[in-house]
Amino acid sequence: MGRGLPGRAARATLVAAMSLPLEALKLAASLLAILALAWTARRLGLGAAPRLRDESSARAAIEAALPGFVPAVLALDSEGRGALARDADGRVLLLRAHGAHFVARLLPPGASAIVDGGDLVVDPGERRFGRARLTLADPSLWTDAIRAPQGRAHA
Amino acid sequence: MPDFNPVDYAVPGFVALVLLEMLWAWRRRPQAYEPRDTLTSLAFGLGSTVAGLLTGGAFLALFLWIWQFRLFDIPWSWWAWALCFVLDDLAYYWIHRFGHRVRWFWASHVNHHSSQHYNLSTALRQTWTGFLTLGFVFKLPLVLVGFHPVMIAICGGFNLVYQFWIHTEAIGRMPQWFEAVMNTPSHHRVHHATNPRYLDRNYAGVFIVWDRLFGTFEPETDAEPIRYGIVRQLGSFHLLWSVFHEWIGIAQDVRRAPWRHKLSYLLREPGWTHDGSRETSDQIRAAWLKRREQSVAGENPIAERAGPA
Repeated sequence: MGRGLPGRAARATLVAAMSLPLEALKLAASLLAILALAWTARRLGLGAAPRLRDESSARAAIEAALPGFVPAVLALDSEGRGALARDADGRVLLLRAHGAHFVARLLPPGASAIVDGGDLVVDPGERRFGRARLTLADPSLWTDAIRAPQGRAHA
Repeated sequence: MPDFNPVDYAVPGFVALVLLEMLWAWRRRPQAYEPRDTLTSLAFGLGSTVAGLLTGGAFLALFLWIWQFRLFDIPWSWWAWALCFVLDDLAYYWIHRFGHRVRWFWASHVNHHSSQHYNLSTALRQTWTGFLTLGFVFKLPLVLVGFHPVMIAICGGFNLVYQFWIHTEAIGRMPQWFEAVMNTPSHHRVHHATNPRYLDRNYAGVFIVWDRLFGTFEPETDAEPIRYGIVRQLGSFHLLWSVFHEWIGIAQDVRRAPWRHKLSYLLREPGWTHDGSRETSDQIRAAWLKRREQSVAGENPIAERAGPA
């Protein structure tokens, strides 16, 4: 009793430092196991990219991503990699594949879209979320809708 | 005083079981795993171990120092171990509940929830920044009562090991008596769900009785497929972004907010904003319930007019 907190902390740090080689060995083994497991998942072909089969599956994916968003207008990527939807309030939602699932974003006023080689490239203005490239029947319809202030778009 | 960490001994078992579950996924449900997601989750686990090595000694030292002021001398006997395990699990329940209801705590705990998958690798998706929150405060009563900090740490280790196996879709339901008392894959799937019905439910670590007792229990329903992850999915496998995104979000919100609201972005629930531009779990659930009521009323207008008998 009576040993001060700084003394205890210093002793604990010293003990931790002395066991470093063993800990380093365990961490190296863990790293190898991690890489082996990720490699195994890849070799087994797990987690293929999802595809939207039809409008109904797109609506289900949108409801899952943003409950309550009801698409008034919906456009699917020709290979089912994603979709764009606009609701009655003019809000535009981007749905795209991410790994084995879909992710969605309501496009903010800063979002942009350009037609590139016949595809629509949508940039939600969020660096880590990234851009989405969609092959749509009429991509130019959506460029204006995405540029327009929310609530007044007409795709 | 034993020098023992149950997690160290469990790691080979974790690896073997992840491998076994991958084989199950290969045969039955290939979408249950995604290689990049698995790599991210396991890297979280490794980083969390490193963070624990760097900060664990300081927390143990703090607990040992506080233990000097204990009320009782609790022996290293079997009943003390059992009692410590149960009380440590109660402390875990409250740490976990705060981890979901206070954004400062959530910034750390969100790491465990940001995968859209629910498998054994998700169990190892542990935070790197737990030391930045005040979770340890919830265990101080145990120290002050007189449980030795090493006993508390070992019980906490066993608690963590128990929680590993419940992160799976490969197990449906356990026997009824087990589901009534213990946390199970079914109960914990609910906890990881983003369906409005399930948000902020089932905080238990080992004993689900805490949720039943404190009103946060929600059973899994087979009629509604579970969607995993967080309300605003990351859409990225970038490890460092996955680790720090919520801390960055808090910093941005605090910087932009008027002075009188700055602290609320740390202390209020995730999703809270001073201008109502985002939604909390409670608001998402309320909106969902309202839509559901309207939908039922629309399908059955006579029932709506008649009201309850």
